[in-house]
Amino acid sequence: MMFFPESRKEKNTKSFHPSLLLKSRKGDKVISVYWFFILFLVAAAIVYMVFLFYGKPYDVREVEANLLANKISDCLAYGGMINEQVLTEEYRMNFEENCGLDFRTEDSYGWNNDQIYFIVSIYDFKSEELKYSFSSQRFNWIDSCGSKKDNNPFCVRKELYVLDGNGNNYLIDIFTAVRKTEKNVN
Amino acid sequence: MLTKKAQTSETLTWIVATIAIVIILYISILVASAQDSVKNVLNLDKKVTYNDFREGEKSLHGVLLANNGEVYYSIRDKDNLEDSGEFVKNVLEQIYRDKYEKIWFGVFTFDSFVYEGKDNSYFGDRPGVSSNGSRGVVDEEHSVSNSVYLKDNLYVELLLTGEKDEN
Repeated sequence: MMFFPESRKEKNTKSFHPSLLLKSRKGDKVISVYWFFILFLVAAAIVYMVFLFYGKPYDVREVEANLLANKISDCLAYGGMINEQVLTEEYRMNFEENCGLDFRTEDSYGWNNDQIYFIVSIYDFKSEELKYSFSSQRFNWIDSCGSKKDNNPFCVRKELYVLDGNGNNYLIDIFTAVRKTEKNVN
Repeated sequence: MLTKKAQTSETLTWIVATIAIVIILYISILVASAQDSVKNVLNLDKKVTYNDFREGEKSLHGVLLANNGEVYYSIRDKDNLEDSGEFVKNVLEQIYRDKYEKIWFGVFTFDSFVYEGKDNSYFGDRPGVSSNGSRGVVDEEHSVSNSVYLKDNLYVELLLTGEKDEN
């Protein structure tokens, strides 16, 4: 409740007319509907803009593929020396376990733990003869490496020059690929 | 009559205001959608990185250890590639020739925060050293580098610039 000085109260009473009040209320209703319409319009546009900007996925496949290649390279060589266990069949057969790799993926989009792939090729550096090659087990899409802007997997290739204890030179070729296009591109 | 004119004027004002609001919102939506359909976290310009060049680090160590460490000792003791340049060049070109535009291998000194790369007859001048010489920052994008300490303020460095996009 507001209290006005006596003189102002009188003035307000004098200027009051019932028909004016009625017209004013009709106009207010129209303006209120208009303002609600504008409010919803602006709110909807802001929500749409936020969705447009943040609704697009971040493509982290390049990071994933590089991290995987780095991890594999750490298992294959220390400094400039090859991990000589890699030269044994047993180590290569259980490489994922020995290297601490876990290729399980999210249980979605029909993925069957087959979204990440690697292949390691070890060559004699001088003769370029392939000495050993091993890879992850699960894949059926490796031929489709391509641009990260489309739906193809992202692939990374890294090559190392390393030695063994006997002074033999090796070229290790590490190829990694990450698919997961449903989460990173679409 | 006067009331009608006032009403028309007010209505026109609101119509114009509404159109202005709609146009502003439309432009905002266009701006929000005017970007690549996928946000790439590695979209930043890649300058020289000293951390994420694992294969270069291992290859550099491998080259230095080759021939029972002959490469390492010759570079450390003579401050140049005279004895080992040909071997190093053959190895590095075989690995990185198809992947990078330019390969540079050589020694540099780093003293009192001043970087000084030394040119050599096998790999030429070190590319793109910034004018202030701070840590030998390369201005070219998609470059990677790794270095190994030799002695005093002397280091040996493998620098690759202009990565070719394989994807």
